[in-house]
Amino acid sequence: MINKNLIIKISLYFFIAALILVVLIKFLPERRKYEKVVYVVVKSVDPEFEFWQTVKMGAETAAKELDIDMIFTGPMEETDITGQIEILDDIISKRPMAIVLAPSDYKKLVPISEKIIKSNITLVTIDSAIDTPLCKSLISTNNLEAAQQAAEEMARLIGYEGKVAIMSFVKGVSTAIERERGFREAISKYKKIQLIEETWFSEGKEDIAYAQTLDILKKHPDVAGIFGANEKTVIGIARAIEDLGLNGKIKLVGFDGNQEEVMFIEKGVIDAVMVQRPFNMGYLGVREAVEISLDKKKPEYIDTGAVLIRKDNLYTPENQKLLFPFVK
Amino acid sequence: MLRKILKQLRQNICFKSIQTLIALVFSCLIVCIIAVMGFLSYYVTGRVVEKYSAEYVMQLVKQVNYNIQYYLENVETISKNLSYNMDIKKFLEGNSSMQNVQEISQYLNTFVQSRSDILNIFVFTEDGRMIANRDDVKFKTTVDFKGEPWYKKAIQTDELVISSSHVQNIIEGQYKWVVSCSRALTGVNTMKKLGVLLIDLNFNLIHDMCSKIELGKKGYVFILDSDGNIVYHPKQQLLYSNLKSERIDLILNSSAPTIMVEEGGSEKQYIITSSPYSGWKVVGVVYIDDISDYKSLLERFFLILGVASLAISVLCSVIISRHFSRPIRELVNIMNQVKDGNFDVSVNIKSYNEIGKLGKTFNYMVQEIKNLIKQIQFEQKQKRLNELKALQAQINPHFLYNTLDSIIWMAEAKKYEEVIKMTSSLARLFRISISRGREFITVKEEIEHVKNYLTIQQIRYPNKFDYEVNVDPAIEKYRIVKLILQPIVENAIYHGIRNMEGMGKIVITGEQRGDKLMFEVKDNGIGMDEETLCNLFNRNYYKESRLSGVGIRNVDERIKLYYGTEYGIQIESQLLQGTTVRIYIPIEKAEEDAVQ
Repeated sequence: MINKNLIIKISLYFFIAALILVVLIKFLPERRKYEKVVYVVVKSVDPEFEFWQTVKMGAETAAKELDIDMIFTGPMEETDITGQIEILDDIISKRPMAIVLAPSDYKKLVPISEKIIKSNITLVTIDSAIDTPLCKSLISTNNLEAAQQAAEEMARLIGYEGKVAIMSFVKGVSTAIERERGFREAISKYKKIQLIEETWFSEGKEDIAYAQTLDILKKHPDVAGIFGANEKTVIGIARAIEDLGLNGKIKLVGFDGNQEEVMFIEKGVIDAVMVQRPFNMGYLGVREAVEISLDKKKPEYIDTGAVLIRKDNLYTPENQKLLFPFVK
Repeated sequence: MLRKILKQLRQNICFKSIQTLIALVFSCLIVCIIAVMGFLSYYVTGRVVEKYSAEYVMQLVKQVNYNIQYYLENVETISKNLSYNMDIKKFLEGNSSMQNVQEISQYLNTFVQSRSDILNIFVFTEDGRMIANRDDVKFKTTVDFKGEPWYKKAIQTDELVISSSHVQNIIEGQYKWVVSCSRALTGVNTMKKLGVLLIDLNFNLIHDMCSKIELGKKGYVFILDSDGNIVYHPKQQLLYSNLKSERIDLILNSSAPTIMVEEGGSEKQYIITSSPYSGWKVVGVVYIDDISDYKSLLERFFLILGVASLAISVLCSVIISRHFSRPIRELVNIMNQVKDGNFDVSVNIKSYNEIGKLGKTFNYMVQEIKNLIKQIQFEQKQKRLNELKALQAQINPHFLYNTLDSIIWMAEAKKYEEVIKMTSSLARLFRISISRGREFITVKEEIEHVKNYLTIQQIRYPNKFDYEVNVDPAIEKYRIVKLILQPIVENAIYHGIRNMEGMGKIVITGEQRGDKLMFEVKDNGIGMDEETLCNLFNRNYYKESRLSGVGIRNVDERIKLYYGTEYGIQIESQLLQGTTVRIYIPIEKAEEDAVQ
């Protein structure tokens, strides 16, 4: 005959406690290692542009590995600088944890980049640098060194003598500046090689590169080798050389490798290209962004390296994956 | 220092009440049980989850392996069929017309058309001729197919050769990721290997098969061929640039289905299945911190559970202990009251357990004590009354032989009138005194008794005092304890009047005052000083002084014993002026027999 009231009281307490327990479990947030978003803003999101699509693949891999959300965005055109600035402005208002940026201009993106850093958003630049001391994190090919390597190959190809022309792509872009500088520095070591002072620009377009090649040949019909500073430029030059039937006579060394370039390499129109690692840029870009903002890692420069591709090493397993990153 | 603190602590936590003790013991017990249970269930749940997730991953990886094997076996069947095709055999021997070549090409194309996963079927001969499944295929002139690994390997064996994944580079303008399956072909009449059949499988299928598999948040599946080359790996590029590594050597040499390896501070597990047919190994990679993700959830759950049950248990033990200790405290409270002398209390506990019984027994005990005290009080009172009666009885003989002496002297002096008067008064005096042993008489009898006494004393002390009795006849019928006036009057005569000069006077009055009866005995004798008056009721004083007054004190005591303390005697006195004694008693109707 233990008090009925007591039993009722105790059961009531139990009930309330159970209720609190259920509510607590239900509403306690699940702990996630990283909760915020990383934006990856590239120069072009054109799905035909393999380089940036490969960057995206790398970024996705890192995002999955680190268990974060990653949003890949950017303008359609590589030359759309204002478009990229607008996109960044919009992203700042969403206050993400970090932005991984491939800046489309060395100087024009400085104000927006400084705004990002001042808004306490981690900024990691990939592929190209930006002209501000505030941004200390850069993940790119060491363009200077890669261009030097390309110059060495060029020198070897032309037998260390003859005229060499340089066709860059966009004026003012850090990668273009560095590649040109690197190539010039390395090639000028060889006294017998005559490096043409003038630099041609393709504006990153094949047809302009084609036309400029004709201009080079008109001005310097005895040119022994041409250096094309990026993908589109190299292809434009290659087309011109093929059309003019100058295969093998003019050595062509360039940057980047896509399917079309591979075809030209197989045909012997292009002799060598420096291929970057866009997958690694994307992957390391996101990983750095997360580590800097969450683990307080010190920002640093990371060289993703470049590989010299020639006809004889096109199909090694490593290079296959590099040249054909997508399973089609 | 520490010992001091401990000592202090022990003193502070000494269990001063049963409630604290019960609550503490209960709480400790429950906490222990919860801790053990919680830990056990946490451990068991963890083990079960781990076991099932490991089994799940194993099943998944096995399924992938099986699918791929099944798929490749299918391809082998096709290759076998084609290797027995007579048209192709003839083509190998070089006995085919242009039309035959067309037919073979169309036949090969039926397989490619019916199966989306087959990209190309080509036949190559040792002497450099070839048939493609489509007319529009342009072979690269720059590539010597005899130098390709799929050709070199196939020509040396009768088995189907399955390559790793690679970009097929023999066709102009086509760079597709394929898995090349190649088989040596023989002629019609000879077992000599005259060429190679190549079936290119679209790598898409295997890629999709593997990339769709999710093993936790971070886990993935990859495939190695028998030489340890990567057929499929989602992070192949990172492997080539040394940003990631897989312990391929360990996987190839392992006979166990699972290997645990460390990577950058966290552990990952390889789950290896191999296909004896293709020699491929399908490897699942699971990150331990990924599958132990549930642990934080589990930890949180058990923590909340623990805290909640702790709260509940403490609450419950407090309630239960209060339930038990409340009646005990009540009991203690009542006992304290009894200790302070209040016996008119009882414990009110309604439960039937031991404490209830204790309460009841206590109540019974208190009642018993109360009764005993009452009895003792009664006995004491009786004893005192008997003492007083005995005292009263002692006075009477003294008075008697004095009176009898007086009578003898008067008889010798032949004063017969006085002898008669005195003797009859004495007789009446004694009759009332004895009153058949009753304690109570009427006022009338009491007055008569005192009058007889005064008559006797007047004869003994002639011309010494005079007296007057003024009693309201209305009060004569009331009942009164006997012999209360006579000792007062005796006192007035012996201590007030006997030692004075001249005539004394005693006035006795009786009347109703409110709800009381008041009798007054007033004399004009020598009186008393303040000190004597104050000490009159002090028993000790009288014992020492041996002064008379014992009578007055006894009367007062008797009245108080019979009627209560609010009744008794009041005395006013002034030296050489006289004394007034007032007696207050309650009004009581006489019983019938008392009147008689």
